Amino acid sequence: MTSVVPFILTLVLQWVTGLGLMASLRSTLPRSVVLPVALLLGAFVETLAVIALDLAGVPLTFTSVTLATSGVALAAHLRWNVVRSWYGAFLAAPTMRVRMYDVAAYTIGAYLVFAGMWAAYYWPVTPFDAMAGIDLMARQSVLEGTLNNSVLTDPALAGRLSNQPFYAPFAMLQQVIYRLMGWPFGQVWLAVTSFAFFWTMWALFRRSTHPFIANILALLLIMVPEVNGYTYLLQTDFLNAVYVAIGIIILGLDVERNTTENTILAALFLAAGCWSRTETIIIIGLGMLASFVFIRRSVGMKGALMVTATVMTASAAAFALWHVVYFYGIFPVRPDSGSELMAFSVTRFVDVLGATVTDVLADMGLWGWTMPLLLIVGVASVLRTRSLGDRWTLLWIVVVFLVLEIVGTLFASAIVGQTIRRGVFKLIPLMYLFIARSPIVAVMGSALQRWELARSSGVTVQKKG
Amino acid sequence: MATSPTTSKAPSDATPPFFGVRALALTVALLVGYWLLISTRIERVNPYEPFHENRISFYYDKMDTFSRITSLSQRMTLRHSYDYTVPLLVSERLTPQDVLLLPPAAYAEQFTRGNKVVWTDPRIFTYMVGRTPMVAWDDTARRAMANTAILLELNTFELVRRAAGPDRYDSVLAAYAQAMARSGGGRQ
Repeated sequence: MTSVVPFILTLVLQWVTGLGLMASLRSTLPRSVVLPVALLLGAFVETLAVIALDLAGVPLTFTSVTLATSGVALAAHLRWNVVRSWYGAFLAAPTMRVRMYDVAAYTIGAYLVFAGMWAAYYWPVTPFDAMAGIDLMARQSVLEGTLNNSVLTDPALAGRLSNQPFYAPFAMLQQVIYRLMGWPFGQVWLAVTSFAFFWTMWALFRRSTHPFIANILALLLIMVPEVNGYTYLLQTDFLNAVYVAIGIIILGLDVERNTTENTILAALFLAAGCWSRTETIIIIGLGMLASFVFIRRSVGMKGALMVTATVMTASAAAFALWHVVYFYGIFPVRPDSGSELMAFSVTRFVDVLGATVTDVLADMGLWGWTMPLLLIVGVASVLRTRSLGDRWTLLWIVVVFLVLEIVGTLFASAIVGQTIRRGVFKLIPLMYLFIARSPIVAVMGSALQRWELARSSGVTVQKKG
Repeated sequence: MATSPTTSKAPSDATPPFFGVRALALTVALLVGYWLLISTRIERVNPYEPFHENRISFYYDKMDTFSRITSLSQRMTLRHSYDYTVPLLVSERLTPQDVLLLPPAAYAEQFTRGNKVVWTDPRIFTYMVGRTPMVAWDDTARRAMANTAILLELNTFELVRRAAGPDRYDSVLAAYAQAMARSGGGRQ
């Protein structure tokens, strides 16, 4: 188990980097999500350190990557006075009270998540796309110490690379880091990502609704069959879903509290989304456009412009770093994505939309009860309270869905049963958050809370003023 | 303006005690609900039972057995079968002078009872064993550079070198072409 020590070192560095950055940015995210969000943020920033090394011509080795990531972790703490006071507040005594059913739910959750984590550690990389693409690149990069490796020039592969090796590089760089650590198949980072993601979502659900309902929603999220499968199968989509969903949620929390305090953090997460799948730049562009009214209402015109510019700049930078700097400045070859592009056709759009609904969304074997639950909760909320609830999340669900359909219409290689199916991963956490924050679930949560507290011991429910 | 992590709590400020009849009732409800979800088979209604059976239960049932198989090569074989073993065995027998001609998938699939084969793709062959002097069957421009073909049989194979006998080498290529023609020329 020679990989264990480097693994722990890398995890600690990711955590320290993420925490240092969040502290420097004076993040006001709920404390319950700080730890998992910091871990995810650190993972993203570490891949940027690998890119910086590669751009500087430094060979990628375990030592060089560890030194670079240690440097990044230190740099994240340069504003020590700010960081120290933030750490002080962060390390104050926890306020969460664990209930009996929490213990049961956490045990079940750990049991479910561990199976995927073990599979990510144990099995070799399996999907064809990964073997012919991102992991082929990662393996050769580790062997040769550079991303500009002989996979791109090997005559046996010339003209046969398709677009897989050129996928946005986040997952590939994670493979590079974990392979350099000594994990033979790399993908242990998937276990770390899924663990941090489910932890984040669970904490967000707990902030949104009664803990008992939050536990049920978290367990249902973990058990979404198709998403669960990709917590141990190497692809770019699950990683992309994690960062895009969390970025959208962080922005939404700011909008809700009429603040721009976490804008840079959200921008980093959305940039990580663009760093993991190419079409995300379109989602973010259209999403920011569509949500501009919400942001303006929350923080005024100047604030809204600042938020939009920050998010778009970060996302465009992440996109350009790979698709412009690497494709046009470093790599000797690049994919011919233009040939994939087709003219927009309403007929094809309708076909793609129909196939998405009937073959993908309606398949309970893929998404469990997510879709019926969303419909029932939405309809019940409107009927009971005349409100749909969390309009921010709903808006982004619609935007992400529409962009998936547009991508499916415009790109010949975007197949409904593959590309769009895995694109739906981005919708799933948003859908569960929408459910958790819906008026009808709030009514149920209040009723449950009253029932739970109304007992002979004399504890009374405190009304909020 | 806040400059630190927020600690304000979500909807329920009052916290019931850990122990209590209602806490126990909710715990039991959660456990029973979960148990029903993963153990009740109702086609097209409960997708969680097959999910649990095929993924979670499967891994816990086999974890001990799998954990005893620690060799990376065995784990690759378990997962990828001939897509790993064929490139591995072929690459072990190649000499420095050999330039391998990868057969079309349609030819290789004659020996896998129709199961899909991906090792004939040069990207997968490279992924499995590293860079190898080779030419893909559909790379007609470079096909003449190859000098070694793979003659597959059930459970075995032979490397046929052009230098050892051009006729035999050509007959292997003819078998490749025939398999392609039979399959309609679809999969390379």
